Amino acid sequence: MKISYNELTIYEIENLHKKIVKEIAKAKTSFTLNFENVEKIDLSTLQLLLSLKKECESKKIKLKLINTDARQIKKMIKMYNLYEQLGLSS
Amino acid sequence: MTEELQAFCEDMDEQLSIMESTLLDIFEISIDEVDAEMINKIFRAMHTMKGNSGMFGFDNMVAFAHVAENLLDEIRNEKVKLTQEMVELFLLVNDHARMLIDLTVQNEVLDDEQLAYHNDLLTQLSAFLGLKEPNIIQTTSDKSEVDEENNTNYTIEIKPKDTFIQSDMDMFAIIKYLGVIGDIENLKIHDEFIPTLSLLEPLKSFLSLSMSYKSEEPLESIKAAFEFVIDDIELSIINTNKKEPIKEEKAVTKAAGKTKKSKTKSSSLRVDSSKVDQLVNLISEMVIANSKITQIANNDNKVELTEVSDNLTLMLEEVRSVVMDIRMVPVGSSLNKLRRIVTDTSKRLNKDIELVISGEETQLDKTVIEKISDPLVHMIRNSVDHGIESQEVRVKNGKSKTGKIYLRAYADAGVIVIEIQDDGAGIPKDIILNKAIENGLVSLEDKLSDKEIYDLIFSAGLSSANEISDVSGRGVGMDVVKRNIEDLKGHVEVDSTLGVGTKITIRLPLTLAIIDGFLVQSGQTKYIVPLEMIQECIKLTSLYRKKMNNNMFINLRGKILPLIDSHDSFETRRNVNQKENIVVVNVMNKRVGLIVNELHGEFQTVIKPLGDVFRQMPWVSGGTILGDGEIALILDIPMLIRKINVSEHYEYTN
Repeated sequence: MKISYNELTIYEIENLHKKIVKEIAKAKTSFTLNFENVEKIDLSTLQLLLSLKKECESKKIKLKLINTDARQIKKMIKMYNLYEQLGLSS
Repeated sequence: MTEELQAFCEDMDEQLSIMESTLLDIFEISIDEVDAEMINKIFRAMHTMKGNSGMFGFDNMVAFAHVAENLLDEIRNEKVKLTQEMVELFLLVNDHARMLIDLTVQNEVLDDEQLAYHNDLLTQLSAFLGLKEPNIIQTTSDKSEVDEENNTNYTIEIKPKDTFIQSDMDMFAIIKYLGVIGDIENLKIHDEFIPTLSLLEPLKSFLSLSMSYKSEEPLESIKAAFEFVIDDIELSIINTNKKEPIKEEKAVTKAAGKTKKSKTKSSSLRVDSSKVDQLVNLISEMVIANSKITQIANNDNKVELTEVSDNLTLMLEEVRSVVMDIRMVPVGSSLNKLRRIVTDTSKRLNKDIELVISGEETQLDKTVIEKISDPLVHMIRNSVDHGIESQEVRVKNGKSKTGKIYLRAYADAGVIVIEIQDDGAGIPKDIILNKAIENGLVSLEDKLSDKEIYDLIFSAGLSSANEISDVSGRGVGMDVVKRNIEDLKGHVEVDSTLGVGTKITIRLPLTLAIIDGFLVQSGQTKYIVPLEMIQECIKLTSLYRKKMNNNMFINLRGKILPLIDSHDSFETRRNVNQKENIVVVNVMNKRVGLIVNELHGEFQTVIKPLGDVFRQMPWVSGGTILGDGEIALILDIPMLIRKINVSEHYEYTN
């Protein structure tokens, strides 16, 4: 699933949550979240991702977060030491 | 040593013993046989130690216990597998914790050798946790650390409140700023309380943050970094290389501290309560034997023997009162201990809370008080931590800035009642229910009543708090509370209204307590009626008897007073010529008259449990041995009233 927002903040997070819940219901073995368009994330996004990770683990679905290359995203993930927790390679 | 500190030491001693004996139990069996309850027991002990140390600001112990607790938590959640090596390490941790507490209480610090050992234990614990950089305390004599001499190590825990995310405050910026004024190590987002996606409310915060932090800045400057978000988070900053842990006793010299400690050690002695029970029973037996001597002396008219037995009676009474004194203590001191906890915790959480205590004079058996102390601490902490809202929220909701917690103790209808009531936020039912569903305690289909939902907070592993702090919120505590109370054959219930507050009521049976009783006699049998329930005593005159017209009620100053005839209820033989009195009792707003023969007057009653033979008589709550060795039955008036109501109902329906 490709995220259409440029910024993920509290104003987008509820809609994104709904979309992911809908999409993940269809997923069977893996779920990919594409951050290609995203330039900025916040703490609510990180919480959503951690929750998504839990959901995937409980359903035995492999979660792939791709194109998380935007500077701010990298910074956030690095600062909070989330590479391992989110299954990303540093 | 202050009373609180002494209580702290005793409590720590108990927790350490629990931990040690459980570890030794594990040692004796194979690792595969270790069950969850054993791990839980050790975890709870460690958690309690951490919490209590936090209350006293013993940060070294808090930081140490925190790491051990984390590992235990991982084992508990089956994320890390318990090994023999770990069991051995935990035994060392146990010994080291004992030493840490002793040193801290004596106002001493770890010497270089002890410090190296401390850090080694932390490294070993952290290794099992998969952490590379444990929370190590730096030695002051370490020459290589000269450039960092002025640095202080902190453990910072940040728990955003539910509403933090909605406030749109930038945590990222704060952490970046902390990085400028110091070194952040091991920043971690804790996701234990983040629900899975389908249960997630994206605008509510469930996560918490922790980090090891090193800075030259004083604590105030570090706190100041959180100035703009302080209302939306719960913040704990612990100085891990603090050298003066005891705030009140800073001025005490080491030597003085030592003498003080040895003094207190001799002033308190822990005795198995069964030994005191045995003593009480023996003295009761002696009273009975003595009453026989008195009787023989009177019968045979032996003046000398009467004199000796009178003397003996006086002495026995004294001994009895001393022994009773050992067991019975007013709850006051135990309740007042909680004042300190409320003051410290509320200060730390920046809340304004007043604790209103009533009924300090209520007497309770010492063993009951000891066992009820931990549950009370847990519940008060919960009230302070999660019950009472922050000052701002309170003002916004139209409440006074100062939160109130009421702690009441009183004897009521054959039980001792302890109530903890706060005027805080109340318990959010939905969160409790969701968590219980998430943890598999109840299923989605279950339709639970409000009471049943509130009862869920007593389930193991279910915390209503979303954070892990050194104050509360690990999901332990409330299950321990319930277990301790049930061990005392007591009962606990929760009532809560969202936005108005929560009330927890603990009822403890009187079987271990002392009451002011009123001694009455019906036929040959003597009974004790709890004095507090008695409104008045009146003579059942022939005029009343006439007006009763064989009905079981009288007109008492214009109001109907239902009567219970003790002869009928207890099937005792009636003597027609004996005088009759009515004891008017008032329980739960019901007024009933009990017809008896003799009124003997007030009697300090020590309750002794009765055997199974009396199970068929629920309206007898216990027995007591009178001064002359005779036995009187203690009436459970509420049960007696209920019995009458039931039989009335029976007559109606038949």
